[in-house]
Amino acid sequence: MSKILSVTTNICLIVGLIFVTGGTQFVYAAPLLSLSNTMSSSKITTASSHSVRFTTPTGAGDNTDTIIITFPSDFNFTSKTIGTVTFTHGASTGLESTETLASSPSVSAWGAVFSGTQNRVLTLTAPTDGVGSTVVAANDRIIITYDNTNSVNATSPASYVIGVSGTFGDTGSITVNILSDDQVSVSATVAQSLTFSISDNSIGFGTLSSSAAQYATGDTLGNASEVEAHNLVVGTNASNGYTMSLNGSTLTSGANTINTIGASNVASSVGTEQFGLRMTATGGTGAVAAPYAASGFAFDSVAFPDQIASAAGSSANTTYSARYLANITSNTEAGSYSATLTYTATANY
Amino acid sequence: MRTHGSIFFNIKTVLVAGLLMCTFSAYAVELTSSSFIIRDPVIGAGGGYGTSASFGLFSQSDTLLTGVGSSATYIGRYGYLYFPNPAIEQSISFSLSDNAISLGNLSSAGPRYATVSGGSGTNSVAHTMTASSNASDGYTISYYATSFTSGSDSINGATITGDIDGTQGVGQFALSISTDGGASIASTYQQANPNWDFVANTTTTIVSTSGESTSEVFSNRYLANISASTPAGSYTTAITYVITGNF
Repeated sequence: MSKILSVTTNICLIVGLIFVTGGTQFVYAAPLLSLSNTMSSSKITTASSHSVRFTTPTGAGDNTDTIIITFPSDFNFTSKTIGTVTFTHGASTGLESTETLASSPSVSAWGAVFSGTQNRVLTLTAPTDGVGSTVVAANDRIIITYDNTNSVNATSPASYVIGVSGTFGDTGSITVNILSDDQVSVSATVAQSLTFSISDNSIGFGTLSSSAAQYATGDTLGNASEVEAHNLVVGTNASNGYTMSLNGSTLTSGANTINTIGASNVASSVGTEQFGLRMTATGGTGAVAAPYAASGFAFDSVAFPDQIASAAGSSANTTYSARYLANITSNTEAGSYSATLTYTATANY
Repeated sequence: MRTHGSIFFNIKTVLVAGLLMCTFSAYAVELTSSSFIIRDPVIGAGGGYGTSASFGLFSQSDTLLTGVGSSATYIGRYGYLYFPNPAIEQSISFSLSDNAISLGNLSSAGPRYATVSGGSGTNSVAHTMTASSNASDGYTISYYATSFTSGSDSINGATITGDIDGTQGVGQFALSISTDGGASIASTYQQANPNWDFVANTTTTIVSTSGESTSEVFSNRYLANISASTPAGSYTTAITYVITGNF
């Protein structure tokens, strides 16, 4: 009886063990490590690039291996082409080896095919030799990028899970957060400004002579040597700079005038009638215009209002030093001569 | 013979015990070793698992049906071993308190700071960013911005170190960040110093964490100075902030 019980027990155990283990299949699906997806924009309904990164414990070295990236519902990759996708991998950065992608796998290329609703599924199929550029080894870092062409984010703000799977055996997921607006618009105003000043509004030559040149001074007494009579300061933040122009007439006493020196820059000539101007510039980016910039003098009244200085762009203050020359002949009519000169600065915003 | 019978009896005892455990076990516990964790698995009827100091046993009856089926009111997972709530779901969140801020009218005589209400002459928080994630390797926040421009004119991005207001009379635009938590802020952006920085047209990482983190609030400040010759105009830039979880 005892023996019968023992045999029965043994049979039950054997059957039980077969029952217990029967049909068992072991599939090693290792979890992917260090997963991330860097996007250029997380704003709803906005084109964004993706850089999907993960480390594969198993690798993908068999020619039957596939790596599948699955974006969740509402992401839209309609019309996206594999030319806008890259696949790199390597032991350290993931950028060591670049795999060629083609519509179907070959010895040298991974197959890359978009499928599913709005192309949300990308299936990469290993090269026919299982290697391609370089075999995807165990523990390789893998980087799969999509540029932002035909790569549009979901239409609703929420968290979305991107799946990584395939017959290479490893699986993982990456959660991204989509916002209604991921941008901050920063604004500021720079008000327009134009600085313009004249240091002295009344200058004089003193007594003119046919035997020596005379230069105007701020004290109105004049000087036999060239000196600054007054200065003008101009500056602006106008993006197209400014122009300064001159208008007026030559020295006049009643019906008598002293001839201008003319439209060309010429040197002083004692004993001839000359009324002229020259300027120098310091500071900022402003510059004296021809014919007033050279060492001689000019007074182009024909062209009045004549441009005498300018700046091409915004400029800090430029100081223009104005020098005035007067010469007369021995026959120049006696009298008290004067001239009113008007300077105008115009900003070009 | 008796010795052999005794040994055989002991083996049978263990197997019977194992089978009994196989038959009646349907645990929801966490199984761990030095190299893995299985959280809350459920084993179908007829299967189970058991452990002692010297062995571990998984068992099952034949798997006739595998897969997942669901409707609006139920979800069924069929097979030998499945996970009703797969470990811990990934989470990541990110928000911006405001999407439009202004520095107001800039001046060469003093600094301006951005606010949501037209700018200020004193150092101010323009907006906040709130972030959290359970990503095991933390998260990073980066930005990408266009230049601070008005047409073809621009105010240069500046790197300012240890200076609350930069340099008056010089064109400068920069960003600085502080936090109420433990995230790492890129050194050139740390308001605590205070440092300021701004790089246009390059994706730049400004915040990083190394592990799971609860909600953390970052305060963003923007500073601008101009020179007397900074061209007049309405200056703008659009700054895109992106968070990336490292799971």
